[in-house]
Amino acid sequence: MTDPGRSGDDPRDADLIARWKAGDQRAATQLVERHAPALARFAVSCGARDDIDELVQDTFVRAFGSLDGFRGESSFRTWLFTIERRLLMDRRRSERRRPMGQEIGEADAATEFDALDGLVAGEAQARIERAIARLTPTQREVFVLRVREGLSYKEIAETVSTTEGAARVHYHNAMRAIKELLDA
Amino acid sequence: MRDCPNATMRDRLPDLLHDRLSTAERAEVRAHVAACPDCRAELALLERIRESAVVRRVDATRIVAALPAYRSPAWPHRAIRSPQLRVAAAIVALAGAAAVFMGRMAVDPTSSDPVAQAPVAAPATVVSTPAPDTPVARTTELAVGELLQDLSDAELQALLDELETFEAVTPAETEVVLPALGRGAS
Repeated sequence: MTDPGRSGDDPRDADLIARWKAGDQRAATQLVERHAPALARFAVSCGARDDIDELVQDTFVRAFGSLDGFRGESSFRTWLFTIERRLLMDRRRSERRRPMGQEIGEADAATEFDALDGLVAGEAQARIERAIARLTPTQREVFVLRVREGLSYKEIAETVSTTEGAARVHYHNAMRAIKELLDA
Repeated sequence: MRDCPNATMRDRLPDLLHDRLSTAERAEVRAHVAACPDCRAELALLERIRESAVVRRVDATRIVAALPAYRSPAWPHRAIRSPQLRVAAAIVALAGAAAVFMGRMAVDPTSSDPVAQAPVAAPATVVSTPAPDTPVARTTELAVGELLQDLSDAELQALLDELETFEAVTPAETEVVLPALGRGAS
């Protein structure tokens, strides 16, 4: 079994956090380089299009500013996803005046996909992104965390503030919807 | 694309994809996938979805430069986070409050020492508003702490005159109030 974002002889996140607290800035660099790509992927997969860099940076700033509140009960990456998701929700509330839990309509999904057009490389990737964009926000978060980031249901439940059972149901509903959309 | 009826195996496909299974679990799921075309197709789809994620380059240097410097929490702040210390602090606070309360209760309310009782209700208006025609009130005021030396000669004389008008009441003459039990029945 592997810890997401870590391989082989790399130091554990907890060790890097301890080194950063002791004044080692290189430890912070390692943590950022290790987890920033996943945070950017998650943001894009969840529909964020603008200021991804700023969102990822805000996530790290907030996380490092409250590292003493991180008790290590979940993985550092799961904790980062939780912070980023809250920031994303705050941003959406202020920008779109629409709660995260609200179902998005066809027009909304199409608009999000139009914005995504410039980011995807080919038709196959475009079809997948279009299908993911049509999921409900919660289904999309759960599905992306499960398939693209490899989180367990327990970690997903912590990130999206739900239960493991509910996360499992969201994943399977999302998987079914993706298959239908891709088969159509 | 069909769903494999073995939901447990389907549930583990993302874990197989991300190498998050134990050796025994991995062997079990791989054996199932090898024999199940539905799971093979689903695993291939999951792989395509994972690989299709949009890759965004993030400037780690800029992020690190924006990070706040680590500040160790101050000692009292750290101490109060401990549940045991919180309970201890609450007990000490309660004990202190109880000591103050008990200290006040220890003052004998029937004591004739005016100094001991003075802080309870020392009237500041006694001298300025003498009330020679209200001996009961006057006596009460004296009992709560007025010092006789604070009175003028005229006030002292008036006080003595009032005392002479009091009638002594012996304990035998005290009105006895009997309970009313049985009166209604008679």
